[in-house]
Amino acid sequence: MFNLKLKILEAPHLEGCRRLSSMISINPGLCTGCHLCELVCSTYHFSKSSTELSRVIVYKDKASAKFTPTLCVSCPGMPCAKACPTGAIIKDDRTGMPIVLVEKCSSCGECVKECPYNAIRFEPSVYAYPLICDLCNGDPQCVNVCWPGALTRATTLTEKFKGAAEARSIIVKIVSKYTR
Amino acid sequence: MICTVYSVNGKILHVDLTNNKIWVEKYGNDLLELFVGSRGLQARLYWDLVSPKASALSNDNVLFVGSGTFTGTPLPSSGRTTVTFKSPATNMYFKASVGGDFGLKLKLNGYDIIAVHGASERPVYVYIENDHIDIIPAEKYWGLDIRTAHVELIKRHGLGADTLLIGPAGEKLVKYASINCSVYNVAARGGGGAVLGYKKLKGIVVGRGSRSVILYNPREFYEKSLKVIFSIMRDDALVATAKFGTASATMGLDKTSTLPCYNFRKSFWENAYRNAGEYYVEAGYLVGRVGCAQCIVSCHRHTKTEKYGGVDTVGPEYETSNALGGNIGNSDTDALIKLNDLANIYGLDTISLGGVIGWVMESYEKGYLKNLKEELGVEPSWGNVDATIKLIEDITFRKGTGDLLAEGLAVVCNKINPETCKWALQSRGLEHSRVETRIARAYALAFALNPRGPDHLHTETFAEFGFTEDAKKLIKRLTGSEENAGVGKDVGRPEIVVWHEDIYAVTDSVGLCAFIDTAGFAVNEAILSELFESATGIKSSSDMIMKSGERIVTLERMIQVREGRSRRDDTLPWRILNEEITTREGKTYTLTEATLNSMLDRYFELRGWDLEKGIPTPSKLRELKLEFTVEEALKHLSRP
Amino acid sequence: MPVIRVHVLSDRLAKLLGCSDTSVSIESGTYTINELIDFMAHQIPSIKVLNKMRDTILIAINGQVKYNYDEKIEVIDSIKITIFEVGAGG
Repeated sequence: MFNLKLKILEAPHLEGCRRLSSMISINPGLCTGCHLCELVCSTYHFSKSSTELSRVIVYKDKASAKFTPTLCVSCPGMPCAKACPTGAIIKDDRTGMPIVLVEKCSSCGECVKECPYNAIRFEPSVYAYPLICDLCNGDPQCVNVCWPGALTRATTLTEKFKGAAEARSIIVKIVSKYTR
Repeated sequence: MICTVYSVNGKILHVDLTNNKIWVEKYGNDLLELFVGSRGLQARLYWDLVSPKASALSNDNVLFVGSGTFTGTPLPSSGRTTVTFKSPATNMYFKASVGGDFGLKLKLNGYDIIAVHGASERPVYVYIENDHIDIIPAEKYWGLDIRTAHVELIKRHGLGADTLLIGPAGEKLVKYASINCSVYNVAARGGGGAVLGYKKLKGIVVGRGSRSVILYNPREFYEKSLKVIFSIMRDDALVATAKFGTASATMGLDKTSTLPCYNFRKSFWENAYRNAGEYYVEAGYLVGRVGCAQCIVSCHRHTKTEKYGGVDTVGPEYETSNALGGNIGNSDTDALIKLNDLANIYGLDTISLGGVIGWVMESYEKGYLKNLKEELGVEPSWGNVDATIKLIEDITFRKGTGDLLAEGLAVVCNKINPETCKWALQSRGLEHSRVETRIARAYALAFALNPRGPDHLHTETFAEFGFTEDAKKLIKRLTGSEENAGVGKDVGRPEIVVWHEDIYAVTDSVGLCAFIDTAGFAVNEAILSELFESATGIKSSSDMIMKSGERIVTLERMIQVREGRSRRDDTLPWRILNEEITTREGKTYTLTEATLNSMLDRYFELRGWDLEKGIPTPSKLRELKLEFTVEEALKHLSRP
Repeated sequence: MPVIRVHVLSDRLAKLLGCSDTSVSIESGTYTINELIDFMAHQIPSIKVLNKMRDTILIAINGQVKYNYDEKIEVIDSIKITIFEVGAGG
């Protein structure tokens, strides 16, 4: 990761509070399905580039040109953490986002099932552990590159959760269309 | 494990459908340095694997699909995929380009290029997932339109998969049948769909791959990518293209009287706005935008109409908007969307389709093809949408006269009456792209030289129009003066074409969309070379990367020389060279053979090729490290 | 008095011109398009720069794109002028 340790120390954050503008809003209607968010996310975190190593997940129904990204919006109550049998998911107090403690994770996938927004990437053939958005320590890269505006800095919590819920309903439709 | 190549897999997947054999070929930096990526590498492979005697619709043709060197990296707009094959329309080497996600996913499965050899006896498709390759019976998908086939295959292979498919037109070997990726992204021209149709290959499905792209200097490349992203967001032409699509070129062409209408009889018309990208937005046809892999410009259109039975599709692009719009006298935008959808799902190139239908309408007007009235149930008169829809169906399924029309203009005009070839806007077997080349002369020269045929996707000399400050600056850089920007001019055209050919070859090969550095100007050769070095670790510079572009263009020329091409083939359709065109302001232009020849003379001089035959000289070939083609050049140069 | 309703069709142009929608009143009469541009640039301070951009922009009057700026337009009722630019295509 690019000087991540340095960034943690430098990241401007308020003691005991989190910056709303570091958070990400999803606007599904504006997604053009380009995947650049995924490639940027994976390169930033892993120094290697693949859509499958990304914490933001783009769902696409190409036959209907319907697309949406989804990513963790840090639901209060953290159902992913509650579902984890080994206590491998904890909350990062600086960002409010879940962190997966790889040394405790058993790759069981229970967190994925519990996530209300399909926002946890878990492809064991690609990477053994779940991938959850960590807001890139305060400067989310995907937002910087999303010109269509499907991923933007959040302005209100309501908007953030609304966007994620809209994304979720699109994802449910896409998944059911392509299930036999 | 030590990687010997960066930014690419260094792997070519070969599939032989005749013998049911599959093998992987590795390549290294030596080839990557010379040939840059997909288009260059595929041309090199084509030289070795496709004999000049091979017939396009035979077991001897090989079709290549490859992703670019920057595909799968964080560089925007770099998901373009190159498809290379011998074309059944031109009987020569042909390169097509396509967006969508197929190339990206192929790369993430571990292969840069797939080469399809031979032919299957029964319909099949190929499935790729990392090291697992399957040739699977495709009987139940054969006959399905592309949209339906995609849905069925994704149901079978999961949402992580993507498809490359042909439609019924490809299955029926229509000479301008397309290959579609991710449903609506089209490697349209040259009849690639027919090549796969002959191979009985319905398509290729790639699964969720577990490879990543490893960059030589990921930090540096990432930062350079961010800079390119910001340049794109500030580029005049790309901003307009993002919002209004490629059909935002329509009114500019109409203004300069370079918008071909009524089969190139007119070059402007009062209904042009109905074929314009701005209109699609204003009138509410646009419901969303679609991007090729990695592209934030996302210029593709997601459009809907309630009419014509209700249509929900992607398109129309500029070429389609004109080919099936003004070219056939169609100002009905709802109809245009319907026609585009038919081409999408049947798998047809809209430029050739429009060229054929325009010829039909003009021929009918002049008293030919009288049988069509009964066959279609309606007269194929200018702008008649019902006739057009029926023609598209008949061409796709080869019914009635459609069977002949499916062969393309070069064949059909001669069969009906050689006199009709005067308004067959084709040359060397390919229908002419949608710009008035009697006036736009950089395009004219580029079209005459293009290995594909009279077509824009080898150069895209959009800068010639001088619509933006950046365009004018480029023209000044290439020709010495901004005065040379603007159409209707001859000065500096060869210089403009040479630069565009070279940078376009590099652009294609790295997987970048040509609009980023030829129609818009967010990237130039200096930036390309820096990105190439960061990505691959191979030393590069502006000169070196443009040299590689020249190498690719020259190799493609040699491939075609071996297939029988020479200067006499560097020509344009009869109407373009023999009839005059009048602008809105009443000014008349004629593009004579003499003018074209003088531009060709200067072009060959700049290239260092033999002037008389238009063939690269041995010394030029050696300079470009293309020694393996020298023998062939000598053979042709020594002939009288 | 008739009104010219100006609509700028491109975000980039809107930024340059300082507005995306505006209107200005004008006396009934016959004007060339050049005169209408002069008038708009003069009366609407934010789109003064329109003067310099005549060659690179496109103008539609009541939905009809006009290329000859010497063409005379009769202004009796309100008119809509749309300003846009050429994108990349091909």
